[in-house]
Amino acid sequence: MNIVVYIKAVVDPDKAKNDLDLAKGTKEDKLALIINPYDKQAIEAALQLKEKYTGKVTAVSLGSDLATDKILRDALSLGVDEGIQISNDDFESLSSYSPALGTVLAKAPVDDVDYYITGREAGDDNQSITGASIAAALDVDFVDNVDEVEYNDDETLTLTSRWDKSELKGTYKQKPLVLSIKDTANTPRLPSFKAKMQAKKATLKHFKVSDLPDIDVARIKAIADRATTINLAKPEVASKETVLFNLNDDENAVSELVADLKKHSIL
Amino acid sequence: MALQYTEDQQEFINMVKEFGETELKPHVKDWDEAGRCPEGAFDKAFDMGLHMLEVPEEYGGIGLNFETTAMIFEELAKYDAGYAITLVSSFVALRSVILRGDKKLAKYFADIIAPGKFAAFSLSESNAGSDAGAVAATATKDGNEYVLNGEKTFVTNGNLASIYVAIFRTSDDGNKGLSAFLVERTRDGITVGHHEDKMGLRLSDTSTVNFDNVRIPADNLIGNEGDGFKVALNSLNISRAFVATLAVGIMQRALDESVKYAKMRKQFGRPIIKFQSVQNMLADMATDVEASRLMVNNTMKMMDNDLSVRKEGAMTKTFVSDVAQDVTSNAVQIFGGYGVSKEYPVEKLMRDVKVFQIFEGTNEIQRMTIATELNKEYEED
Ligand SMILES: Cc1cc2nc3c(=O)[nH]c(=O)nc-3n(C[C@H](O)[C@H](O)[C@H](O)COP(=O)(O)OP(=O)(O)OC[C@H]3O[C@@H](n4cnc5c(N)ncnc54)[C@H](O)[C@@H]3O)c2cc1C
Repeated sequence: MNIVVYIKAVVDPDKAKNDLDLAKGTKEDKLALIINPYDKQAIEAALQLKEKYTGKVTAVSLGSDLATDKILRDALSLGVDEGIQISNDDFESLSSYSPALGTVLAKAPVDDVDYYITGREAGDDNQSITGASIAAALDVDFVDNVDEVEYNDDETLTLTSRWDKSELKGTYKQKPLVLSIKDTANTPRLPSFKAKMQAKKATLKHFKVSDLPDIDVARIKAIADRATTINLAKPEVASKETVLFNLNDDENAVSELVADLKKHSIL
Repeated sequence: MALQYTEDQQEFINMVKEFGETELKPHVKDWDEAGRCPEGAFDKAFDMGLHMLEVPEEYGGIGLNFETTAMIFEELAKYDAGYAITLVSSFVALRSVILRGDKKLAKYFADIIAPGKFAAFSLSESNAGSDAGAVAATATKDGNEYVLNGEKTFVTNGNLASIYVAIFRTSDDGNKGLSAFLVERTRDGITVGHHEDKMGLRLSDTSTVNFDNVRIPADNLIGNEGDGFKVALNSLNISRAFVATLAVGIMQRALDESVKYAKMRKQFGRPIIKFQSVQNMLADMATDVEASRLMVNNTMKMMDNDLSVRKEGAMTKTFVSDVAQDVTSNAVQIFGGYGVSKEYPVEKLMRDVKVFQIFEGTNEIQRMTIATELNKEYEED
């Protein structure tokens, strides 16, 4: 079974100076670049598929060479078999919010793919379009928000997708299939030191966007030009903070807190 | 921090941090209370290869040097030093066999622990603590076998180990009458007795192991008859440096918790970090941590260069474990009444760190070793 998992580099939220840095993806410190947390569940789902049915997992990442090198090696140290870097140096406008993204990612050269897997969203810009846009570009079916995977003996999957207010369970026989994995779907494994050491020495496949097999650069440009990003910003979040008590006067703090939580039906 | 890490070292430390956050932090309090780790508590550590970090690749290990391994274990000890020492004791036991140069025996040993098993090093007995030469447990040769008899006390991993490196007496000739053996847990006649209910380091198993007419192949002798004391010293030299690194982890945690608390806790209308006596305590703590880390690092580098650390290992273990008492005690002081409460993290650090002055040879004995080495260095030709 051939499984492709798409992963994105984001700045470690613990290390990003502020939220906007995070959204813009300021990339000064290689060690501050991590696999998009949501993609960790996608990798785990891919590895579980491989372990269930035997096969190969290829991770694909688009971005700067520095970023994709770092996170693809991180993915290898989790057990992914191969990494493909797609450098967007020749396509500055190709960001994760570009409508052309799926068209490019779908061209990653991996043969006979059974499942294409993405995380549900990116931790920096919180968009969740990658899975759908890859599916559209490949013209294959797409299952969104997968929260539970059951592996059937005939290599079909029974998938449960969950949204805030609904749940959908179905058995999917078609292949290939694009899956977008929810962050509650599994607990990602930790990297092993042995795989980490091997990952340091591994050779990654490297392509520029314009070097990808069968890529139609003019078409990508046309799609990319269909929409222009004017502004990327974080919305103002209304503060819900209430100060219940003064730290210097903690005599009644506990009883006040309990009373207030009860008032709001939290306790 | 003065110690500079390479990118690789920093990545390894990050890996263990992630492990500590997800696999240890949520459980340490319960396991400390229970006085032991539950079944399976080390499964993910084995999957990661934490028990094989320092083991050379030819023995199926990761092949990191002592310096980098120590950095990783300092980080792990911030979460729990008892958990960390369980892994350390295991690879140090293996290292003591590797150092004797019998590749076949070392490979046999490594193959047992590699898939996810523990080893232990066992020298102490009820009447042989500081005075290792008083070991009374015996190994008697019988054809192609040795027959082992006696009781070993205070064995770290005593109850977890699948294989022991144990010191037995093969002749009456004092230290020269001691020999080291590999003893598989599966041999008939081995029983694990008393489990020490300790004040600290409670995630680490410390147990008594009884040997009652235990027969092992003569090939399980490590080196030659009479090498036991040397094997023990080699093992202790390495483990001293490693326990010092764990104590640095405990101290760093004590410092981290103390600074955070001192910035947050207000008295007389200001955070207590604004008071000079609190500042002085924090400054001394930070200085002790820094000095200790550098001392450990230097000893590790010496070991990586195959230099003897008989003196430096003793100095490191003694200095670090002595200052660690003050550092953890001052952490409790800074937390005030909350410091002694089990709801807060620092009382445990103080409990955990005491034993570092005692095991791997007490600090009194270490000072004797340091003085003996000094005496030799200044001998007139
Ligand atoms: C948690 C824990 C784990 C351990 N793990 C292991 C293990 O894995 N394997 C193992 O073999 N052992 C292990 N030990 C045993 C440990 O090495 C001994 O406890 C230690 O060597 C001290 O021996 P003792 O307890 O018999 O104390 P004693 O030797 O009885 O010492 C008591 C006191 O007398 C002092 N003293 C003794 N002799 C002298 C002297 N000549 N001059 C000055 N002062 C002296 C000591 O410094 C100490 O203060 C462990 C111990 C503990 C507590």
